[in-house]
Amino acid sequence: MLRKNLSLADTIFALTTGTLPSAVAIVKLSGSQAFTIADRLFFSNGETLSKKRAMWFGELRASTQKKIDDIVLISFVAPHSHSGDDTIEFHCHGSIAVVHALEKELLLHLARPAEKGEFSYRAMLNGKQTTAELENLADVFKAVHTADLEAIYSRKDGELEKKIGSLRSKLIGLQALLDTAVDFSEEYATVSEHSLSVIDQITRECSEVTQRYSRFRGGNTLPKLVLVGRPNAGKSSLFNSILGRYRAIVSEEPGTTRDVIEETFEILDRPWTVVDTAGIRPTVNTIEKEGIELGAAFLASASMWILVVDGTEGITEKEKELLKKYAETPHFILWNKKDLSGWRAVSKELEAITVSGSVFSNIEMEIFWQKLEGRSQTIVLGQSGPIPTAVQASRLEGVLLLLNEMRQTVLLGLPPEILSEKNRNIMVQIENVVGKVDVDEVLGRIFSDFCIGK
Amino acid sequence: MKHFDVVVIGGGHAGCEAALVSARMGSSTLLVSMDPSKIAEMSCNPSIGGVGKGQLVKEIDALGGEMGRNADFTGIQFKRLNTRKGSAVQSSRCQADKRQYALRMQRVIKETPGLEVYHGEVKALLVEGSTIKGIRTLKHNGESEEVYAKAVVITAGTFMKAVMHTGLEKSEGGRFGEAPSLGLSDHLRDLGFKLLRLKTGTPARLLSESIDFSQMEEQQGDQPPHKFSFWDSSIALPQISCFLTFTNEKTHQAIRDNLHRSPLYSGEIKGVGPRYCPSIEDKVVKFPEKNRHQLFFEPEALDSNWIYPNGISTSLPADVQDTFIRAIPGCDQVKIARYGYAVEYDCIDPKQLKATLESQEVSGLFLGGQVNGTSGYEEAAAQGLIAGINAALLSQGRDPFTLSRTESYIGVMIDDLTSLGINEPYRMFTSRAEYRLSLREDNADQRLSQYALALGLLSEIQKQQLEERIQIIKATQIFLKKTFLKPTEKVQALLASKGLSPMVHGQNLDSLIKRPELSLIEVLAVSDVTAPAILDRQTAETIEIEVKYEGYVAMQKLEIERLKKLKTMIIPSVLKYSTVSGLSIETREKLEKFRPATLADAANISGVTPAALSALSFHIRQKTDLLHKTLC
Repeated sequence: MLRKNLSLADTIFALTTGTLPSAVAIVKLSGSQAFTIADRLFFSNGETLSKKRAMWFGELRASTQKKIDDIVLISFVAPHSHSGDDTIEFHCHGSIAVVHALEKELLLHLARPAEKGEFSYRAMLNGKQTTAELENLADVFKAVHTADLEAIYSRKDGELEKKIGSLRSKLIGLQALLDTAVDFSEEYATVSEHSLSVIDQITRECSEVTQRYSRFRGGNTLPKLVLVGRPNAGKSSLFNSILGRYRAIVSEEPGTTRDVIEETFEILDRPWTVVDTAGIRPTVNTIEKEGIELGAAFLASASMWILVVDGTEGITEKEKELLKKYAETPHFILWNKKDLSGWRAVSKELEAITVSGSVFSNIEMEIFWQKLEGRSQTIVLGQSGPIPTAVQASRLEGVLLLLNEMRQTVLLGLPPEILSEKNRNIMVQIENVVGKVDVDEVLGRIFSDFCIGK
Repeated sequence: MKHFDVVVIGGGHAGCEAALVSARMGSSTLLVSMDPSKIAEMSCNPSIGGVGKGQLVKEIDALGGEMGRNADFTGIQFKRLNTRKGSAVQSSRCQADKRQYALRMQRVIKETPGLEVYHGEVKALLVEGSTIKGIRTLKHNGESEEVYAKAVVITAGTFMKAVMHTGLEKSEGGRFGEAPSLGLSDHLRDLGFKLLRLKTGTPARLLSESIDFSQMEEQQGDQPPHKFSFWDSSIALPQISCFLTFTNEKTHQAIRDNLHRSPLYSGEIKGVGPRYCPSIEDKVVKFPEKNRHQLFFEPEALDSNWIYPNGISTSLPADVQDTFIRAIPGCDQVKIARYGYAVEYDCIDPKQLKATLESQEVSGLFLGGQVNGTSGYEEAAAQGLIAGINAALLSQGRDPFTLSRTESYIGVMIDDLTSLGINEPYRMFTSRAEYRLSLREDNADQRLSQYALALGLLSEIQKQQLEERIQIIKATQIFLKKTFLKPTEKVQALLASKGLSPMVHGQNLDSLIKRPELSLIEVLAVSDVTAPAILDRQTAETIEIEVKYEGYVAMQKLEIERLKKLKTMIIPSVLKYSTVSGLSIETREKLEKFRPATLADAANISGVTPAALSALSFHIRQKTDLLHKTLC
């Protein structure tokens, strides 16, 4: 958090690169005195540091005239800098001693260490960055997955606005209906059923957006790929080759269950949790049964699943049941161990959903990866959408509470003007995310949807 | 050479209120009418009130206007609408005897001291610099005359450059059989007014003896009827029924077959008509899936055989009207007394008016009613009242009077008109009022009558009545909060009869009344403590509503406070919106266009988001800070 009452007149500085020691360290100095201060510390082959946008090479010296480092210096003249103020960047060697000596000198010249985010804050005050851009920037720093960057930048294209806009438009429709019930009394009497269906739909769509936010902030709602199969069918080998093919993402959160191996991967830039039931160590007698059933327990939450079948043994009745039961969830079969003798081709009826091959054969697996990636993309695109900012997400949470309250109001059978009041309040909250609803828009809707007598 | 404090041009519903209130406030007033026998004429439907409009009538009444009382004395069927909904949105409506309505109003005008009626047409406004000085008229005997006034109110209705359409036939005139006012709108344009062209319409009138009412559903009024006025009026005329029927596919087919002969669809009419009161041809075209539309057949007066068929306003040619009306059940033998027609007329852009309804261009010139682009008697009367009050105040050198949208429907309407303007005839709806749970019919006097008192529009008796009512309401509210009800047998029996679970501990009366199932009267009946005063029906109703809506009204009050705060944040008139960061181009353009005076006004512009508002307020504060720093 920025302190209040930060003086804008101060010249401020900060180390903008990471932990020392490092190859290069960049110290940024910004404010009205930036050039004056830098001129006292920097000596470039007889040339004085003039107020222009340029890159310089020279020596950094302390007030005692002792050399600190050979550096590159970049100068930016207001308003053409990131913060909009005069700015100097000292590109030094990333030594602790060098940076400390520089910082000491800057303090001596009455510059002050910048607060977190203060450069950006000034950029905003100087009209270089909007608050919305700042919000985005904050989230760029938080982002782990490449795909999230796309979602964050797409905010600029107004994807969330479009989404909210469509919710808002539904609310206006509902408002029109409720106000019709009030203003054109006897003609349209029952609104509760329609109200409920609209409320439920908006609730669903709002939660989709807020869930995307919690997923973005590290909640555990990544799409899940579940590997199922009898022990020794080749699940672990498959899991390992997935590990070899896709970048694993190190997650700080521990796995939700100890019974399985879970890992997060990026498949085509999109994060996926892959669940392998290989960790299960059932008793000898129940190997077959438990292996399948425990795996099956995860299928309910799967976004996609792969049945690994040992091609030398064929498919069991139990596995066929799974195929039937989870037919709705995208899935396919890896008919494994083609490299072994005794491998039998897959039956005709399963051919369409099966890739035959061996986990150990790169050529055959290529077909498998293609299939996996193709399917994964359709699933992820279906789930993808704009990520709200923290503020937007919390406002949407507020909207969800209100929607629930309104639902109760409908169920209690309260009259339309009360529903209308609640709905209006919800629209105000939605407005806090996008534009304002005006009465004429509501009325416009009434007259395009209904027929009214005087 | 005549001198008056206030001249009112036009004797419609706006003109009547304007002239009456001005005279009652002690300003000498002249009402100019092209035909004094048509003063207070109900040109379209013979009814007063309706959803949203009833609230306006009550507000006019609370402010000392005449419309509510006139409707009470001449109403022949009273009905409360929205009775199945909550009390806040219930509205009163009455059908009036259209002859008696006009005659009584004419009598009131005649009997009001300081008010004179002038038979003639206004040909020009006398303006010096940018101040009104009077009018030049053409008297009915053909003489030209100048009348001087400190303030002039124009309530010309639909008469400016009016053209009537029936089918493809056109004739000049603002109402059947009456000439248009031709010079006035050109004159206004010369004075710098922007003019708009609008359209409205009225249905055919039918002869009652030619209608078979047995094929329709009889609709009676409320028993007992609720009158409009808070004051000493009474319902004086016998009460009658109206009749409900529907159009059918045959009606619609006849209309569809002849659309090319409708001036609306042939492009003959260019004015924009109202969406909410569309002509029957409009309804048939816009709602093809609806195979019937509801119609009310309303008698126009007790001693008249004319029926007003509410719901089939049209400008189709006479023979088409014959065909489609005959297709309506009960109308196969119908005789048409007068065919329906559409009227196209000039109105001014109301954005050029102040909240007092005074012109921004010409001081002392006020406009009210349909001439400002509204529709409906009630909307007109409310504006006439405000324009008349302010014309009188101006003539007496007193401060202007305005109403805000947080306290009245009238304020909502005038704010909408003057800040947003119109693109079709403006009609009141409850949904236009953000605070409709607090802006109710039942509390209009509590909201507004203190203003009438201050303006000198209430008599001593009315003043006492108002104070007494407010006192009873307050006392009863305190009583309901303080009085605890023990779980006696009577109480438990009441709860059981409503299907509610029995009471365990005592509860105050107030919290019981809040339950949707229980009413004030029921709760008082099971209480052993007697309520502080005898409550009349209206006051009991107000108290009950206040209790039931308390939570919502409190929320609205908070919202009103927030708005007031925004109102105090003034946007410098020199502000360059291009220097404010964080505004989208669209928002910037809107702000440049409307140049709101305060943040509250900015918030009212459609498309200005809360984010844009905060960017704006941030910018203003920052700039003000800088200014302070430089100065200190």
